[in-house]
Amino acid sequence: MSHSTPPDCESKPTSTLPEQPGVLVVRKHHFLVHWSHWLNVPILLGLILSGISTYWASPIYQHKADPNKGNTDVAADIGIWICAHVPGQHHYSSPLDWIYNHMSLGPGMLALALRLHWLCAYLFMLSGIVYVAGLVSGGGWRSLLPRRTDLLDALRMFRYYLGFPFAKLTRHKWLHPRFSTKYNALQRAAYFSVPIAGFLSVATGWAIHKPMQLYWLAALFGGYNTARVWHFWLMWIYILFVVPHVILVFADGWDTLRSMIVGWSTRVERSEVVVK
Amino acid sequence: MNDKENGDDSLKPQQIPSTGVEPKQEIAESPEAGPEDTSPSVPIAIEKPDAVEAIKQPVDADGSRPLSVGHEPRTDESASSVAVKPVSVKKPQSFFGERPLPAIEMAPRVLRYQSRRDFLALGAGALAAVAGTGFFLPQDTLSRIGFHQNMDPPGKEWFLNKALRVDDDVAEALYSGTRRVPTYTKSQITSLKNNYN
Repeated sequence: MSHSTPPDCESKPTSTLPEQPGVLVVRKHHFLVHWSHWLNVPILLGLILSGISTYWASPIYQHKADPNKGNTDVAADIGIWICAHVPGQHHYSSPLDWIYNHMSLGPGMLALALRLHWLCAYLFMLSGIVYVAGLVSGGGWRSLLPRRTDLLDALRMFRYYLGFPFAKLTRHKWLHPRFSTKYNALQRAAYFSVPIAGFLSVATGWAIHKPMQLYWLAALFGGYNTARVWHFWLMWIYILFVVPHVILVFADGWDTLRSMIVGWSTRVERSEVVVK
Repeated sequence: MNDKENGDDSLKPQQIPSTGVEPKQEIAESPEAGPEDTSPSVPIAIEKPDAVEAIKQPVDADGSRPLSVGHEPRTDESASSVAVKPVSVKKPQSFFGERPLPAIEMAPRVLRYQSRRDFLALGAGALAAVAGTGFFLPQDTLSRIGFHQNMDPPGKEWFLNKALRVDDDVAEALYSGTRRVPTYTKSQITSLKNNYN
């Protein structure tokens, strides 16, 4: 750290090394926010893998028993279809279990899957509390709130993303819509929805886990079975969110990724240069 | 990739293009970030969150993208040829209104140090997550993905049982004698639809 120099020393530099200019940065994310963000990666993976293993024991989506195989599970049907049509999978030993063998811990391990699911669920709740604490103490929650102009702005961003590949291919200039907010409308919609999905996942999880003690919670989601449906589809929200999220972060560049790891961003273009 | 942001060629505060608001302009002064700095753990910063009275937003000549301060510095000559439009002052309108983030000037080496430290921490965390995966996953699952070596450590059961104990404690706290599972008649019983059959 350099300190203020006494006036009489200013004209007599003691070092011959040139001074480096400073870099203007903004603290884009509170450290609790980016810590909990990364913690969620293994936790959500554990929840999904163990959750699908749990689903195997009593699938939500079933049909009348197949006359040939006696199968009632839609997920097993998908596995059979994959083994019949996807190259390289024709000789798979257990087509009924294809989905469970590839997207979960595996079939037939309900007890272990439940224990792992609960462990991850408690960690997920802790991580959620840390995330909210980071949002509150860093003031980042304001950036996530929806705005009146979001619908129009979302359409502009959607148009931008649709046209971007064609503009690249045809070497045309394709201007990024300008916003004076931390996130654009699409980002805001996604980042606002995911914490809500997290909250609903926890709530539906409790409704399924303790349907007698928390009967009112189960009733709020339409009963035990409907709460299971909610819980199942909320998982898909994470999966459907993560894929474009990762692609867009890499597309947006180094600074965006780094800011989620370090917290700082050197993109000071929006509003931050202080003018008094 | 925005590699220019690593700090070495970032814009000097003095080189921010004119916006037409110079009479009142005050940019966060840079404390000298000389190479003699030896304690990079603390950002050399002047943070002025309360001083945000006006906001300026430099605009490229084509108006396409706002100029990032992290971009290549411009000379005064080039800056003067750029159409620069000051953006109106936007004080937070309400409690829910988004606040502009205060800019902080940081020595490039501090930024590099912090970036390196946090990336290493993330890498260590990723390795710990992979190790944790090996620790918690059932042996059958590990065998299916190619780890045939027995990786069933003794602490695993203890750890998972601890988590189960926490869950039992929660169940106990939620228990109420007035809430019981209803008793069903035989005619209400339906066939089990599970994959155990």
